[in-house]
Amino acid sequence: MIRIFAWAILVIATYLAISHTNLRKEWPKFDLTNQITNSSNNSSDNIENFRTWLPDTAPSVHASTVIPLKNGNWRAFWFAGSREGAPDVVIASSVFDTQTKTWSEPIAVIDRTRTQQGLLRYISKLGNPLPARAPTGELQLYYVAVSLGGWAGSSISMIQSTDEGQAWSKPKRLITSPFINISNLVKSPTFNFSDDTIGLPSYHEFIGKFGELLQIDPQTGNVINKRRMSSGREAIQPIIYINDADNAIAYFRQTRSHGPAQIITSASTNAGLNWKAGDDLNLANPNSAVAGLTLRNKNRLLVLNDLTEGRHRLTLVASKPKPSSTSNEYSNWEIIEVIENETPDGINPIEFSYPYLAQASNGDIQLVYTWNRKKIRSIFFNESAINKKLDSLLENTSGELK
Amino acid sequence: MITSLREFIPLIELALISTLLISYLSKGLYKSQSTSSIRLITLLAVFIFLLLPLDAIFTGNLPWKLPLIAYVRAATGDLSISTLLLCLLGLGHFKKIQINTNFVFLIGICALVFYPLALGVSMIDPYAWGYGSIIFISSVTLIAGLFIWRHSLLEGVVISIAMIAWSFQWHESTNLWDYLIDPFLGVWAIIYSIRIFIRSKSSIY
Repeated sequence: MIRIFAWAILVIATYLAISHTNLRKEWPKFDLTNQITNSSNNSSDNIENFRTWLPDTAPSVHASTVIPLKNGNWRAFWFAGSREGAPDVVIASSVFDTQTKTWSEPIAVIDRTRTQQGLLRYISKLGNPLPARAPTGELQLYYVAVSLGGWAGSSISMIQSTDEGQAWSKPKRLITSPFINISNLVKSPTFNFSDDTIGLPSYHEFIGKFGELLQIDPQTGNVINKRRMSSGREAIQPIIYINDADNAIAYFRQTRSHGPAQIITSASTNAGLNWKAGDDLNLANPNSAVAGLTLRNKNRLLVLNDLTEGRHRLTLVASKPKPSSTSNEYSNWEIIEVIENETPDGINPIEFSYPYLAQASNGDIQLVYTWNRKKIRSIFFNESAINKKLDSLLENTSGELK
Repeated sequence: MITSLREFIPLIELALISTLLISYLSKGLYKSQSTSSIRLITLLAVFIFLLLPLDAIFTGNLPWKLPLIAYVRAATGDLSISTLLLCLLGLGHFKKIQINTNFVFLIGICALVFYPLALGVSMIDPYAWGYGSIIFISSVTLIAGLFIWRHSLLEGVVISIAMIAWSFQWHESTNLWDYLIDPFLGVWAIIYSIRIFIRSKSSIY
C-alpha cells in the first residue's frame, strides 16, 4: 500500500514537472529592433564632446552606468560610499537633463539595509549597478549584493521602476549558481531576445572566472535559462556585440595569472545558445573592464585601457564591417580618441576604469567611467561624427591600434 | 516594503532545521525522561527566537528589522528539499530512518562531478539542465522510479517531493538542482560514503 502511495507521488511529480517544463519555449533569436528606446529622434544640439562630472556623493565612487530615458534625458547609476565594499555604500543615481545639460541632485536608489529587508537575509555590501530597459518598458536595475566575504561572494539582485527611476520595487534575488548562489556579478549591458525575454551577460569570480549569459523573464525577474560563455579562470565581464539574429561575439576582461594580457573573445552562431572560445584580440588588456557598443550602422565602439599594465590611459576605438565579406568580419580597430592619458608617478595611483557606453535612439552616445576612484566622468559623443572619423582613419590607417 | 508570508517559508524551514540540529547536538545534556517537556519548551523557544527580528543584538542599530535566522540564511542560502526532508526525518526523532547507501553514494558522486562543472571547470554546465531540460527531468524521474522499484520508498518520495516543490517554485530558485541537492547534502554524502567504504574495507581484513 505504501509502495503504491510512493508510485502515485512520483506520477504526480513527473506530471507537474513536465507541465512546468512545457512552458519553456525554444531558445529565441536576438532581437534587433528594440535595443534603444527614447522619444527623441534628433541628435541633441551641441552635446557632442560635452564633458562633465557626475555629482559628488561620497569619497569613493565606482562602477558607473547610464541609460537613456523615455523623455530624452539620461539616468546614471554608480556605487558610492566611504570606500569600496564599505557597509555605507549605496547605489546612487542622477538624471542628466539634455536641455539644461546639468545633472540632478543624486539620490540613493537602494542601500544595504533595504536590500537585506527585501531579500530577508544579511547583506554586507553592494556594488555594480546595471540598468536595463525591459521589453515591457519598465526600467530595471540589476546590482550585486554580498552577504559574506569579498566580491567572490556576490549574488545578483534586481529592482524595477515604472516611473523611469524615481520609485523602485522591492529587490528580487536571482539564483544563478548551485553553490549557495555565490559568485555571480554583472557589469555589461543587457539586450533583448525575440521572445521578449532579457539577455543578461554575467560572470563568476570565485573558483572559476568565466562568463555566462542569463536569460531573464522580464515579468517575474526569474532566471529561465543560462549558457556558459567561457570557462576556466581567465575571462570575466563579457560585453556582447550582436551582428544579426543569430551571430554575436563577446569580449572579456582577461584575468590571467600568466599568458597574454589581451582581450579574450568568444562567439556564438545560434543566438547565444552555445559559445565557442576564439582567438584573443590584438588589443592589450591589463585585467580591466572594457565597454562596447554596436552602432546603428553596425560599426562597433570599444573603450579600453589599451595597456598591458596599469589603467592610466583610456581609449575609444572603433571598427566597421568589411563591405565585401559576411557581416561577421570587421576592419582593424582604429583610435577615435585617447580620452585619458597620464604618466604614473609611482606614488599616487592613476586609474581611469570601468567604462560603460550607452546610446539613445537619436544617436547620442554617452560614456561614463571612474576617474581615480574619486569621481565619475561623463562624455557625450555623436554617432555620425564617430562614423566619419572612422571612415577617414580607415582610408589612412595611420591611427590603427597595434 | 511588504513581505508576503510565502517569502518567509525558507526562513521558517531554516529555523526548524537549526532548532532540530541544536536539539540533536544537545541531547546529551538531557539524561532523564522527565526533562523531555522542558526540552521541548526550550527548543520551541529557540525556534521562535530565531525568527524574531532581533538583529539589533548584533548590529546595535535600532529598530530591529531582520530575523536572526536571516544571518544563518546569508551563509547557507536556502536548503534543498532533499536536505530539509532528510533532516526533518533524521533529526526529528519521529522514527529511526535508514537511508539506502546507494542513494548516499549517488548524491556523493553527483556532488563530486556536479559542483566543479557548475563552478566553471569546463564549458559543460549541468546546472543549466535544471532550468527545464526534459532529458534531465526524465533522468530524475527514472532514478526516483528505480529507488521505489527497489523498495527504497523514502528516497524515491524525497526526489518526487523535490520535483513537486520545483514545479511550484517553492523557493526563490527556478532551477531543479537547487531542490534536489545543496553543498551541505553533498559534503555529508561524500563523508558518509567514505565512512561506509572504510568500514567495508576494514571488515574484509
